[in-house]
Amino acid sequence: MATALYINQTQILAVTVGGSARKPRLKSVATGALAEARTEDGAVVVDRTKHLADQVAAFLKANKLGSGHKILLVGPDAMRYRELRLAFSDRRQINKVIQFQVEGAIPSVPIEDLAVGYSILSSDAAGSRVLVMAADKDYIKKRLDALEMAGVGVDSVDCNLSGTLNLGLLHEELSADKPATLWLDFAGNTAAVSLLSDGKVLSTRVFVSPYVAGAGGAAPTAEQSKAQLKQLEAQAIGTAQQAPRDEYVLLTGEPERDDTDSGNEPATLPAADTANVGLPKSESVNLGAQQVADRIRKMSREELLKFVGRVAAEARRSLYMMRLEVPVLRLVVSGLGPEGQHLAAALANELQIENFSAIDLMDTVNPVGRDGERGVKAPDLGEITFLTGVALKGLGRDFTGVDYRTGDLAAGTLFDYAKTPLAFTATLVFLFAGIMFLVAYTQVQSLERATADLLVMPNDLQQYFGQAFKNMDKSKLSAKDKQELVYPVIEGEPAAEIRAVAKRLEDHQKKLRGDVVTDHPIPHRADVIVSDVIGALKDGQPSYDFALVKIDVNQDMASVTFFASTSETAEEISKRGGKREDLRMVDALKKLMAAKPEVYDGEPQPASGTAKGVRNGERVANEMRLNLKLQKVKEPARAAAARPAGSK
Amino acid sequence: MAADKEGSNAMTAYIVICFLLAGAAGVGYKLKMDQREELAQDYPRLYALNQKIGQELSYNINRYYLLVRDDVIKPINLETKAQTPSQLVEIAELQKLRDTQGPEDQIDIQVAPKMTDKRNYMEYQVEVKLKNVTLGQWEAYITEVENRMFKYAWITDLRIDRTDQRYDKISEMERENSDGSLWNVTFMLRWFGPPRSVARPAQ
Repeated sequence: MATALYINQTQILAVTVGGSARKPRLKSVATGALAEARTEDGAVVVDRTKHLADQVAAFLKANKLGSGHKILLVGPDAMRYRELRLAFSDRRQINKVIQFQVEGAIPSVPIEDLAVGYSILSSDAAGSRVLVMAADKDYIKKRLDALEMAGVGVDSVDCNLSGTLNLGLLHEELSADKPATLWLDFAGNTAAVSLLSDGKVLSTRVFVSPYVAGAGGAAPTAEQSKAQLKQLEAQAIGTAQQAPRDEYVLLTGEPERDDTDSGNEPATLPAADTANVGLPKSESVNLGAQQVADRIRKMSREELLKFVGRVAAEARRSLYMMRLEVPVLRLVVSGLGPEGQHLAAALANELQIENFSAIDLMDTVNPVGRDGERGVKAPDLGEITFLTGVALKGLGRDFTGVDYRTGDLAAGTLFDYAKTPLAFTATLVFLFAGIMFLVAYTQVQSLERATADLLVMPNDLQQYFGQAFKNMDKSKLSAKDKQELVYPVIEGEPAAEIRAVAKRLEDHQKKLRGDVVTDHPIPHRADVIVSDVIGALKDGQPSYDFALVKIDVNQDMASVTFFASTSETAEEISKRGGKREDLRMVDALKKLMAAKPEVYDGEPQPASGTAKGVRNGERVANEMRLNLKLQKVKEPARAAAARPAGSK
Repeated sequence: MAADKEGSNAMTAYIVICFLLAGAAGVGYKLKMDQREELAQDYPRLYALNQKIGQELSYNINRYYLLVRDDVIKPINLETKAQTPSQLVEIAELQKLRDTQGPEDQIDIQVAPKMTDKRNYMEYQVEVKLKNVTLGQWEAYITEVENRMFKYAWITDLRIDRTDQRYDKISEMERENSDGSLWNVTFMLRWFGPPRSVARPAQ
């Protein structure tokens, strides 16, 4: 199911079709009046888009048109049609140049104000003939904005001629098996003349329907008809100036150079421009087939002949422009209601075509039943064929392929809507991050300069480095030692240079103090270990029976032999911490080893060969021998590395 | 149509490029801030190093060489190390340790150092034996050796033995921490020098 929507100054129309693209059926036709854009107290509504959106939403809700595809119709009053001949027929190439071509063909309107669609009428080796359908972009945008605000998602936007062709070519009288046919369609205040052959549209033009003249009397020529239309336009403008200006009022066509008579090359001769016609607003809509028939009935014979003459002239013009090789054998007239058959006969006579017929395009989608009634009773609307035709797009039938819902009129994705704020945010973020980066960069530069200044301020390092070795006797130095007296310059890295200078001087100072040993192992100082052991034994509070016998220190172990009393009295033990002398000594040595882990390894280990309960008079002692394991003396890494592999 | 699409693509590209540039600037900012932090932390240390070089290291080294030049201090060199045995004898004489023959002999000093080629360096050893000395005597001797030679030499393989090691022969201390017994002490004085390839004949 698909619904075509048409919004003009005073009302909103909706035509819904169902079925399939091949067998479409009219479901409903709804019309709704648009209230004047004024508040209850008579003031002009400020937000007119919202005002329209509210009314559209109410209309759709009232007519239950919420579901299905939605297609917006661009009425003839906002359209400009031109036929162009291009030197190529490839769509990609046409897409590239079409804007420039249209700019030349419609010079009075800025190209950025037009939404351009086109249909290739014919193509051959020499190029192609293209029917350009340019719509007023602002006209579409205002309606799309209102519809989107009303919560209606518009799938596509198409024009009246597209709708006419889309619907008309479904009719059996215009089918592909018919011979070359001249088709005249009248709808609303415009008429379209098309040449068909083998189901293809060879040419189509839109012109002002001459029966308008019937409203104000006969107009013998096209010029007089246009003059009368301009008079009606002036009246309409006067009316419009009295009423508050409505932003979604139908375009009446700005005063524009009449391109039809511009004298352009025949290849780019434009079709009649309905937007230039300036139809009375009240008559630009709602002129249905019945009304047309009624007007024709009221015409005098002279007026009728002039009407036929004008239409025939337009038809001949189309035939002349086409230079059709195949003779036109048929005339089909549509959109004239009950008067169609008479007028078709008159036109056929004027055009000297024997085979003619009058049809109603709506027969395809809303046929007349056996009871003589149509399935759906539709109001007499001029735009019903346009609307039905564009509604068929929603069912998959799209003869011209024109859709103005592209470019800046395209349905926006979330990303599209977010693009502008995103671009703004991205710019801000970029600027912010850039500024922050520059601030950090400047600070780093400043600190780097300050660091570089430390090479000379407050102390000039090169000068002080040289001064350190000023009184040194350099005569006996090796080349390697002399190299160490050279100031270390590190280009571009002042921090590293300062550290290198400091390290070189510190290393030299350590070497002078004897702190630096890099080429041989550092043995355990045995005298220090003996001193430590004796100190620890003293910390163990030796009794008068205690006797140190031996201390033997090598690079792996310190061995201590002593006699520890076992004949201390309880009182003596209590005075010395409550432990027997041997235990006190072991504890003291344990403490020593734990205190110097860089020298000692583990705890004292008892050695064999000791004696218990040895006596000296009344004195009794245990002979104790304890081994204190020392940390392994390491060879310097450089020396080890220099040693050949495999050597011990 | 095509122009609109191109414009939309250009806008997308602009947004992407802006965010990419912002990201790059953000990363750059982070890196620069890290660098700034590092430099800011380094600066006081480097300033202190500058001060140390100017006021301490340069002064100390220069003063050392001034004292050496004026013979106030003698630097440890190969000559100093070569004089080690004679230094040991000199200390023994100062300590009045008797270097004689027979039971009166109290000290034996190996005059010629034992040299061991360790490939990357040379090791020198002098063995010193103290016989029948009191605890006070060996303590004083070792202390003086340490004082004179600690900058380049190490006392290693130190063995102190009480002459009487049987408990029944050890008399009771007259008072706490007192000990009047005699000791035999042996130690090795060890120092190092450059490998033979660069060692001088003086050693």
